[in-house]
Amino acid sequence: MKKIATIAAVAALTASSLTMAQSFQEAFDMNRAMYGAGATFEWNGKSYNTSYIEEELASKPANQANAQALFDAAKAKLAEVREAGFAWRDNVKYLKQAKEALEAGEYQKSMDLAARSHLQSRVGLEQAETAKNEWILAVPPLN
Amino acid sequence: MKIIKTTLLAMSVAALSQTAMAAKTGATLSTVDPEADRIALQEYMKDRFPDTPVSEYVNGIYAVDAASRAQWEEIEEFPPYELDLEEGEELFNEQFANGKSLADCFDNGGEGIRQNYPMWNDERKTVVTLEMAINECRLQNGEKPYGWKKGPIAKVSAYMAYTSRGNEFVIDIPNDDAKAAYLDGKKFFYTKRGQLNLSCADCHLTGTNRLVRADRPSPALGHSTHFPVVRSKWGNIGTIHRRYEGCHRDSRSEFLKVQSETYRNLEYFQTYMSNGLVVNGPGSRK
Repeated sequence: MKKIATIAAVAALTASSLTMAQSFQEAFDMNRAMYGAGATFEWNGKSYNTSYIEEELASKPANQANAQALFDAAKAKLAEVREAGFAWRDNVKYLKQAKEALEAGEYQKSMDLAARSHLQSRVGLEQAETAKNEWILAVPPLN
Repeated sequence: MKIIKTTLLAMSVAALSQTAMAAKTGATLSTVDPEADRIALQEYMKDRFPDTPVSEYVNGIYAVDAASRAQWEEIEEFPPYELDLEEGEELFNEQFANGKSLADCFDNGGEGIRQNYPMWNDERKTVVTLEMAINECRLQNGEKPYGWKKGPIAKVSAYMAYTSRGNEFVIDIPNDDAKAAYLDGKKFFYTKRGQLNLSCADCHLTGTNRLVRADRPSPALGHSTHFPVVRSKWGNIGTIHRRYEGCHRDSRSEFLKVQSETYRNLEYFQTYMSNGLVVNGPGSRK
């Protein structure tokens, strides 16, 4: 009886800790939603900021080298998300506009557009990863 | 030692219970069961719309929304696809330069066969849609293929559907290769994608007859029975792949080419879901 009670208690504790432990992504999303970009938060004893990687890349000095690097990164990311079959509708449009701005010497504009394209690709890849295990949960079960 | 063993056992129980809650079947080739999927979809719709007989789902949204149905019945008094049917029949019977016609490429002279499409072609290891078969017939006989989405292809397809009205869909999944194509279509249907993070199922399963702005999405069951359709929004007749493209775009996804393998697999899955329902194409829709 005591053994069963111990098993039940540990099982309950383990199950609740599995569901209650906040992942880094959950902590990031919560702080991002509350404080926006550029804020800092603590997770597992370390400090992090709430900016997306694209916001950090687009805030580098607006020059040809940085704009070209961000454009190249966005282009590579788009190829990756297309391969996965999860590209978003307007992504390629932003990348084309980024290229036009880059060629016109409008570096900040180009970096902002390439960052937007990169963000869409990155989130599309996250969708693809989530879909791998979760699509089946939407299928009606046979009772 | 005993405490450690007990703790480990308890953790295993907890881990197992987590897994059991998430366990589902039908996501892999070894577990997918098309017939179970078809019955489950019917059961889902029966549960959501208990007053709608399964046979009514060939009428799309008009099976479950009385107000839209009244308007649709009035439209159907003078069907907007009548002229398309006449043109489709003429095109169907048109002689190719070599003296043959579309009728020579199909079983039963191409009449009353809509219920067999899309079909699995085991030599080519691919799904062949009716529109694909029409265009391949033209190519094989030295004619130019039609455009894929509207115009002649939709008119000929409409005529062929019309000659099949009342026949029950009998889509066959003969082997594991075909089952893999079905599974690919099923996966596409239920997968969320695009900037709006929407799957086909979000609108046409859980979202059926629920307002999306001013529109009510149709039920997935019976989707492919009534195509091609004249849509009020289009102002002309179009194929189901034209609709797939539009839906895919509306989820803010980078949409695929019509008649791509993915869309053909989607049509294969969707039409299998309609097995047992009758062909009633062409149709008219909002």
